[in-house]
Amino acid sequence: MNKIKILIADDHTILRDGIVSLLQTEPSFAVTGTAGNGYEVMELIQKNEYNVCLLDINMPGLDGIETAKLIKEKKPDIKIIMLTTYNDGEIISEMVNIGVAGYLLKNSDKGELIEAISKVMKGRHYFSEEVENIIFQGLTQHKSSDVVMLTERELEVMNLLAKEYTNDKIAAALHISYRTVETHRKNIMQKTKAHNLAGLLKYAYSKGLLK
Amino acid sequence: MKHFTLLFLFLFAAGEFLMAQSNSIQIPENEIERVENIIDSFYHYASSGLAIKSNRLECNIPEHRQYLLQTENLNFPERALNINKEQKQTYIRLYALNKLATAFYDRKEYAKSTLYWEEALIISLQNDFTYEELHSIRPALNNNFFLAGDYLHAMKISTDGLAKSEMLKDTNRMIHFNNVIGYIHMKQKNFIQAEQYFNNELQLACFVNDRSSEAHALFNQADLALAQRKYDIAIVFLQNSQEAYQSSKSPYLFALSEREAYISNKLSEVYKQKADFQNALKYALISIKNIEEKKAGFNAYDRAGYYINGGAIYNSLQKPDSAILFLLAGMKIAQQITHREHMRDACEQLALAYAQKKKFDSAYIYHTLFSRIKDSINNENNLYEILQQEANLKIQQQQQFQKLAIEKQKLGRNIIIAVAIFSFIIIGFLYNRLQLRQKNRYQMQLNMQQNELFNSIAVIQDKERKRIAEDIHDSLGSLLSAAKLKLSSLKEEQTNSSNKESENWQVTFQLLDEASAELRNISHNIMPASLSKLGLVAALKNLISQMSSSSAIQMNFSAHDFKERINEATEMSIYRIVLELINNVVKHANPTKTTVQLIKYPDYINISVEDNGKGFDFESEMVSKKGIGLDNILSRVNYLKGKLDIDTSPGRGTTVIIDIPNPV
Repeated sequence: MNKIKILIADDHTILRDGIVSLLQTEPSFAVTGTAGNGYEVMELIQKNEYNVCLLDINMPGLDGIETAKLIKEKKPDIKIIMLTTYNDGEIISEMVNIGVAGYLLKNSDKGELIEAISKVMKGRHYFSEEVENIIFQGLTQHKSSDVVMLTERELEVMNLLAKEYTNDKIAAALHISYRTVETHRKNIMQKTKAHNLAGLLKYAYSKGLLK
Repeated sequence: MKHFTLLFLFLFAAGEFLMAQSNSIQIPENEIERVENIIDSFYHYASSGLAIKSNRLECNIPEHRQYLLQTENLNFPERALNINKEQKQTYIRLYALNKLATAFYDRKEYAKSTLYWEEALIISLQNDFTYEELHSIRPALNNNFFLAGDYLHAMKISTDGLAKSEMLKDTNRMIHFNNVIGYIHMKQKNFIQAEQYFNNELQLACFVNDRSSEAHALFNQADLALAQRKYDIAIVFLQNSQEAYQSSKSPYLFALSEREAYISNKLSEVYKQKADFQNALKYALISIKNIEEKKAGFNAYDRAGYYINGGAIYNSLQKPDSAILFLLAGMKIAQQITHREHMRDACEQLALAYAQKKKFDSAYIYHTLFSRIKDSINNENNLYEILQQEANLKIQQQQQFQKLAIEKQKLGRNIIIAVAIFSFIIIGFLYNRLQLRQKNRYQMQLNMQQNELFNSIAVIQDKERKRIAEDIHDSLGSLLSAAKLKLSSLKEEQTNSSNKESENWQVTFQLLDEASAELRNISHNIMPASLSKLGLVAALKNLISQMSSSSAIQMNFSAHDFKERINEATEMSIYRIVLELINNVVKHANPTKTTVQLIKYPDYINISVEDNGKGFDFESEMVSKKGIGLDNILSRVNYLKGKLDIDTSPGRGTTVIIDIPNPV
C-alpha cells in the first residue's frame, strides 16, 4: 500500500518538528514536506505530489486562509486540514466555505490528528468537537439574522410612512427624535435601494412587509 | 537640546584634552588618509630624530604642518624626544592610534573611536606611558562610554585612573578623575556619592591653590544641587564659582569670558525655574553682553541659547518687544547652524510674544512653524524640508501683508469720502473683529494640536493591542501546543502506568487544554483575530453572536453594502466603538432586544445601536457624567471626524447613531 504523503505548514519550528516526529511513528504516513509559510507551500505542491496538507492560519507572508484558497485552485485533489489556534466562528465558517476537509485546534492530541488524516483520505470531513459546536451554533444563529433585512424599528417607521405620517408625527408616535426618524428613513432607502417613497412602498407591498 | 547641553558640559568637564579637541580645526572628509599621511611623516621625522625641535615639527607639506601645530596639545612630538630608542616604535603606534581614534570621534563614530582608544590603553599600560594614559586615553575613553550611556565602563576607566593618579600623587589628575566620577554618579542620580567626589575635587583644588579647578568644582556642586532641585543652594555655588573664575589667573581672557557667560546663563535658568524673573533677566543680560562684546569666540549653539533664554524671560516679564528682539537674534543664529531644537524654542516663544502684542497673525505663523519643526524633530525629517516650509510660510506671510496693505489703501480712500467720525467707528469695529478672528484661529490651532495628540495615542494603542494579541496567540499558543504534543508522545512510551500515574496524566492534559483555552480568550478580548483576518463585519458578527449566546438579550446584527474592507485603523476604531456601545447596553440598559446595524453609503458609514431598555435622561447624565462611558466613544468618533447622536429618554430605550466619513 502506498503511504499517505503529508505536507506540514507552520511557522513555528518547534511545533512543526513535534508534529513530524509524532506522525512519523505511524507506518502508513510519510511526512514528505514541511513549509514555514504559504509561498513555500505553493512552491512545494508545484514540484511534488502530496495527499494531505496540514495548514496553520497565522504564517508570515501568505497566510493559511489565502494559501488554502490557492491550493483549492491549483491542486484541488490535496486534502486540506487546518491546524490552528483560531476558534473564531467567522474564521471557521470562512474555511469551511473555501472547502477545507478538516479543521483541528492546536490542542488536539495524537489520536485526533491520526483520525483526522485517515478520515479525510476516505473522502470525509473531520472537525474537532469544539469546532463542530461552533459551526452548529453559527448555523442556527445566521438563519435568524440573515432573513430579517429591515430591523423592527425600520419596519415600524415604514408602516407609518405608508399611513402618510410625516417625520414629525412618526417621531411623536414612536417616542424618538426627528433626527433618528430621518436616519431610519435614509437607511431604509439605502437598504432597499429604493429611489423615492413610492418605490419604497411598492417594494414593501411586494414583500408583504406592510401590516 | 539636553543632549547638546550634556555634550558641552562634558567637554567642559573632561579637562584640557577635550577643550583642546573642541577648539581644533575641522578635519576634512578624507581625514583618515590625511591622518595616515601625517603619521607617515611623523614616523619618518621622529625615527630619524631630526625634525623635532622644541615643540615644533618641521614638515615638508605645509598643510600637514599646520594640522600638526594645532593638534600638538598632547605634546607628542616633544615627548617623543625623551623616549628611549626601543620604545620609540611603540610610541609612534600609540600616536597613530590616538589620531585615528580622534578622527573617528570627530566623525561621531564613537564605537570605532572607542576601539582605537582601547588598543591605545593597552599599549600605554604595557609600556608605562602614564602621561598619555591619564591625560588623553582614559579621559577620552570615559567620554566615549559616557556619551554612549555606558556608565559602568566609564566608571571603571575613571576609577582605575583615579587610583593610578593617587599612586603617582598627581594632584592635577586626581582633581580631574574626582570630577569625572562625581559627574557619572550624578547622572545616575547617586547624589550622595557624587557630592563626596565633588568635595574631594574641591579640597584638592584648594590644596594646590588652583582657582580655576576650584571654580570648576563649585560649578559641579551647583549642578548637583540643581539636579536635586535645590535652587537656592545652586545659586550660592554658582556665584562662588563665578567669583573663583574671575580671580583665577587664566592665560586666556576669552576663555574667562566664555565661562562667565556660561555660568551667568546657568544662574539665569535657575532663577527662571524659581520664577524670579528679575534676577533671571539680570544674569541673562550678562551672558548676552559677553557674547555681544566678543562675538567670534563663542560657539553658535551657546549664543543662540543665550538669546532665546533672554527672550523667554522677557516674555515671562510681559515685555514682548524686547523678547522679540532677542528671539529673532537667537533664531537667526540657530538657523545658521540649523539647530532645530533652538529653532523650535525660538518659534514657540515668538508665537507667545506676538500673542501678547495681540498680533495674532504673526503669532499664528510662528506657532505653525513651531509645530512643524516639532513634528519634524519627532519624525526625524531632514532639515531641508523645514527650510522649505519656512520659505513657503514666509511667502504666505508676505502675501498676507500685501493683501492687508491693499485693503488698507482701499479703506483710506473711503475715509476721505465718508464722514471722519463715522469711519473711525467702522475701522475700530472691523479691527476688533479681525483681531478676534485671528485670536480664534490661533486658539483653534492650539486645540487641534492637543486633540491630535490624544487621538494618535488611541491609534497607537490599537496597534499595540493587535500586536500583543497576535503575540500571545501565536507564540505562546504554539509553544503550549508543542508542549502538549511532546507530553503525549512521552505518555505513549510509558505503556504500563499505574492508576495514579494515568490520573496525573489526565489532569496534566486538562490543565494544558484549559491554559490554551484561557490564552485564546485573553487574546480574543484584547483584539479578535477575525478583525484583522476577515475584517470588521465578520468580527462584529462574531462578537454579537457570542454576546447574544451569553446573555438573555436577543441581539441582531446586520451589515449592508460592505463589499470591500476599509482601512485597518478605522476598522479597529469602529470595532471598539461598537464594543463599548454594546457593553453599555448590557451593563446599564436592561433591554430584551438590541439591534446593531452598519450601512455603508458611498461617502460615509452609518452605525446604529438600538435597544428597548430603560433609557436615561440624557441631559442630567451628561452633567453628572456617571458611568455612561461615552468619553472613549466620543473621542474615537471625533478622531474619525464623525458625528454622534443619542436619542433617548427614560423608559423609551436608547438609539445611538454614528456617521463616519469613509476613509480616503
